Amino acid sequence: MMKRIFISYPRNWPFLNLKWILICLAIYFAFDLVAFGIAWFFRVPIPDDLRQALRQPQGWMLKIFLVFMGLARVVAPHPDGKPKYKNWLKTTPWHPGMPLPLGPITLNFYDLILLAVTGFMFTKIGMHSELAILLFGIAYTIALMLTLLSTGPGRIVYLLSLALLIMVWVLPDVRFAALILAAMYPIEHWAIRHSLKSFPWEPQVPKHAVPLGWTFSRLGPEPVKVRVPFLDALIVSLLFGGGVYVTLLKSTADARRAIEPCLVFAGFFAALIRFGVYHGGNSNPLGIRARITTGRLIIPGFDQILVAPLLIAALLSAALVVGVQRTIEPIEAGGFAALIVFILFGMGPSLRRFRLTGAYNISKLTGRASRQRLSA
Amino acid sequence: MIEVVHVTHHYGIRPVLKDISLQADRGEILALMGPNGMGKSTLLAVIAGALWPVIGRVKIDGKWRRATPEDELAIRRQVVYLPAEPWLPKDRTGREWLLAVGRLYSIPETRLMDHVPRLLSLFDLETKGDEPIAAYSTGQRKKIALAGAIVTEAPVMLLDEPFAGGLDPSGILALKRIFQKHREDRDATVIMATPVPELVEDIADRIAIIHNGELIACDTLAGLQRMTGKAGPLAEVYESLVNMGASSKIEQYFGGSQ
Repeated sequence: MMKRIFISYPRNWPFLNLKWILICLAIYFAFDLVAFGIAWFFRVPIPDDLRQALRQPQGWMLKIFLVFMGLARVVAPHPDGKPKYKNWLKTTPWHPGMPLPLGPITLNFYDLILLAVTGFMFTKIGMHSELAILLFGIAYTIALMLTLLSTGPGRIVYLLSLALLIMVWVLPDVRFAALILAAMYPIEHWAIRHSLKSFPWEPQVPKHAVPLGWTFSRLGPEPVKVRVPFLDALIVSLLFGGGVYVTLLKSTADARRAIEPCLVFAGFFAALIRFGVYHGGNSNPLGIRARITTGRLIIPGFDQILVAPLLIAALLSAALVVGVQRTIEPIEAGGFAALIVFILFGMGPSLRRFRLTGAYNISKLTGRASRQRLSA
Repeated sequence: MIEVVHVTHHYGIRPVLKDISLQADRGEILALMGPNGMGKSTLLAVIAGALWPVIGRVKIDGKWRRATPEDELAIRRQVVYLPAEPWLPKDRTGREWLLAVGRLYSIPETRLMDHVPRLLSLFDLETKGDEPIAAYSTGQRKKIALAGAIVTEAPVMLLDEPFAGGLDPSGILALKRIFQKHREDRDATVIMATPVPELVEDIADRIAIIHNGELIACDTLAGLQRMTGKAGPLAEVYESLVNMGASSKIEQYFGGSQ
């Protein structure tokens, strides 16, 4: 059985060898030994306080182990993000449907055993057995979402994010949350199989290993690759708003007071980043002095990139004023956050449109900026 | 065909181009000439799309620059721009860079594999072609940059001072021959900026002369000769048009030393 587990599990993960597992188990049961030793030495039953105190580190060990395993189940066997493994796999007769050489990404019977054993260990230390599914499932889902973003199908990530949000929303009902995670698995299983079908996930626009310089990278025939379609901007903003709502809903009043200003400043920062991305490598066709002198105060083709950041800044400033006057409800904060994120990603012009049709001068890049690769 | 329509541009409040209109036909070699700092490079950058003119527009093959994403991409596939001081990846070999540029312009791999060695040979870079560009001399860097523009096979070439930057006589000769061949065989349009009349006299179909940001003449050599009443070489015609007073300044200089 142990041999089968090791075959099934990714073998290049440091925790997954017998030595490490024995060390972890030894540390884990050392706490029980301490309790039994004290009880035996003093010939008294183990005091409840001591029992509780010793269970704490055991609980943390189990939690960390499960999160680690959840991440490892995706990261360790997945060819994405491992160029050498991926390139080697491309040269082999491997095709979707065959087992991956470094182990499966989809869950199997041995994962069930792992969850059953750790669930049982949780009950022995007085915790919910469903915590095993919860922690392993969250880590597994997050790791999978990150790989799906690069391998596709990308939009399934939205569905998984929504499910995670609902899961957080039902907390502290651990059983219901674990049930939601378990219900998500068929979708994840389908997504993994679907993504493996498109192996080796070559980019649609070829990446250039050789840097081409500013003339070719800015004036060459390849379009700008950064594109956020309207639908994606809408979904991302709604998910972000939902995330803010759930976070604030589950937070204490003190935590809310700390989170809300952070969100506002993050919004200002994001607006600045958006402006920087559009402005990077370009310069204003007419400076302030020239605009005043020539009477051309507004150049729509260039100034359009200021609209979204200024709108965000105005909305956030208004939110700060309202926040001082009264308490902002989580639903209001969530809706507001969704609006800000939508402006950030969805408001025109798109970066591609601005780069191709905007009224700007290309700054003659020097130094580090000019060495940017086209694929960057 | 390239049309420059009433282009005015200024850096800050300093005017550089003043209401310039000109056109270059398909298969034409047009030389932009003028003293240093008079707006040749700025005009070329405006045509290339690197600068946005404060007033006026540029049309290439019937499409306005930066009008719609589709039109702009269509233009970019047709145009290659080489600034006077091009950027090159110093840690890569010339051959690698040429291949990368060719791929950017979707040149078929087989044609690229055939063309790149011929280009390297033409510019006497067969051996250097496989060394990092950091090891190249100034002239060799200029050659590899020019080869980078040529390898794109773009029908519109916008070249800022292609003969400057340490290019040796064999390189100059090769480049002139390439321009002529591209014009004859592929109907390519070449617009180049240069301050030296002797370098373009024998290849340019027309010469546009820019002085103080204004287009003061744009014609064939014969046309410019008629306009100025000078029958001599382009240098003499050019001198009379821009009225630099170089001859009198030289005489004044040597006269002052006696």
